[in-house]
Amino acid sequence: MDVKNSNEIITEFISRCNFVQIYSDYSFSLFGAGDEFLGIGAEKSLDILYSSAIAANRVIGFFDNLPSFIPEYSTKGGCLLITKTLPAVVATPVLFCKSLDVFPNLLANALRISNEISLPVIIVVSDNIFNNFVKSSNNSYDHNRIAGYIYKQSFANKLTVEQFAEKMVTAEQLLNELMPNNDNYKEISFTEPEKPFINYILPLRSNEHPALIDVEVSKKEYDRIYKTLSTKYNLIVSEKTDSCSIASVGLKEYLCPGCPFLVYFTMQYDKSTLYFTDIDCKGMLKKYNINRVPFEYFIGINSSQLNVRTVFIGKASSFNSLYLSMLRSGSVVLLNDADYKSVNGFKKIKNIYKPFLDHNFVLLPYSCNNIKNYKPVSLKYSKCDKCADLDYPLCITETNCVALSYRYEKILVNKDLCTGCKACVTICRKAAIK
Amino acid sequence: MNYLIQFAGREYDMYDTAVKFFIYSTEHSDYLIDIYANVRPTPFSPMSNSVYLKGSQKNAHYDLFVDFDGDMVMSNKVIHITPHTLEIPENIYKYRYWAVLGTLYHIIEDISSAYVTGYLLENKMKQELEVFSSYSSHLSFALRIAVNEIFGRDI
Repeated sequence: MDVKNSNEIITEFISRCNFVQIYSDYSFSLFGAGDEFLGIGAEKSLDILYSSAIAANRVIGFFDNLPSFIPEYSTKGGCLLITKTLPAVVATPVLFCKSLDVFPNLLANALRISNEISLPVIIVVSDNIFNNFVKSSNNSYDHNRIAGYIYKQSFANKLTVEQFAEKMVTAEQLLNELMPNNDNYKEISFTEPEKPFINYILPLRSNEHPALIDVEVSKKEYDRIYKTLSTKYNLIVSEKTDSCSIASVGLKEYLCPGCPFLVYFTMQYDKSTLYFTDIDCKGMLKKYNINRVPFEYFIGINSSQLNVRTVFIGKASSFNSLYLSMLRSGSVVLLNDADYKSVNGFKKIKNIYKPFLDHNFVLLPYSCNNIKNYKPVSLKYSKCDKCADLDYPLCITETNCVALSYRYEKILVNKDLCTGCKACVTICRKAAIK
Repeated sequence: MNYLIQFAGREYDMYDTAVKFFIYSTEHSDYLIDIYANVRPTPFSPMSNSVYLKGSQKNAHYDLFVDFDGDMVMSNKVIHITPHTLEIPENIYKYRYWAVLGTLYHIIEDISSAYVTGYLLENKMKQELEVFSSYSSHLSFALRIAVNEIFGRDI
């Protein structure tokens, strides 16, 4: 059958082009080796990818939000960084892709440009690229194998401004040949399929190339991408109030089975407490309405005694124990995303489903990327009244757990998916789940 | 006739197969197809795609909601193809993807189900073929009323 999905297209590209290092953020989960970058985080992974590319390895990374990144050295192998939002700093060529039909060609072109100019290339993709299908694709990829090599001068000579400008001129020539920008756009859109969008932006542009001016975009897009575009690039963007032509349908929202946030909030939730986190999970942030800030912000917030209790829930891998001495008030809950045996100053919790409110600093046994499996729960149908006084059983509505379903007047537990986190056990009023 | 079909399903492999078959069949029936993806907030969120079929009649446009696992939150009067509206019996619930797909082939009359039946026969999936054939030849009572009312024709 000549229909492919996004996963197949990207996997084919990765295997045919012989990428050595592959990083993917948790939300991409389909690509990459998985455990290789366990608990390292996007920023450090980007450094590893970039330095690997300097040593002539071909690398690719998938990022939800690309960390700030300025290349200082030339890369020898190709380096592709794929992201869903525009980077805060445009320091390398940035290509845009909003249709899966052209994505394989764009990947091949991006790799070619990266090889030619010896710099990483960033590809910003729209929501249409992942979880999508394409009718057919015939692509010719660069099959060259490059052995890794490094010599003394690799890290000695930083890129000069002149060298960088020269590379950008080469990149612009190549891009104009492969995917030229049209300069007469009046209205562009990154999410609406029918409307055009610019193909690329470069950090430095030659004078011959006129600026793109006066384009209108919808409010949703303006917030997401264009604030950066208009300030960092020669593009005047104004807001437009138009709805998207393809409306997405409302779907039930599911959290991952055993979601550490679900378990924590089921056991310990307190209405008057303010919660903060540095974990970027759209599903969880929407359900619990938590403020997403780095831990450094939390230290600042707690620099004097506050009138409310504050709790920070963060990743153990990105936490520095030195911060504890700076923290004057507030509680910290760390999710053990790198399987640490202990973290200085933190009480290690063995069973996540037992209350631990007495401790201010606790280390939970797992995080989103390494959810642990306990014994699956079982349901006693004789005790279960299916929450007759409510429209829908509480264990399903409150947990948003993908392992629980309500069919044929019965609550069913999918034992393959259940991790035994026991959030539903706490919620059940009749003690029917054990 | 033009159709905007919204798919949603949670079982990745089955969803992938079903949507691929549908795209392949419609393409071979000379429809122009645009496929769009919807965002998944967590890795366990349902897969969801919008498929826009452009046929010969420019004016007529219908919305179909194909919900393999009953994950859509519906509010309007629409054609909602889901195991619940198809009244799928408990004993064949595990074949619901084929039942829902069969119904879709039944509603969109000018696409051929030969690719699906061929695949099921080739792989000796007897039960699945039985379910698919049965649901691609008739509609459940509730769905038939909805289709007749919205489409303005008797199916």
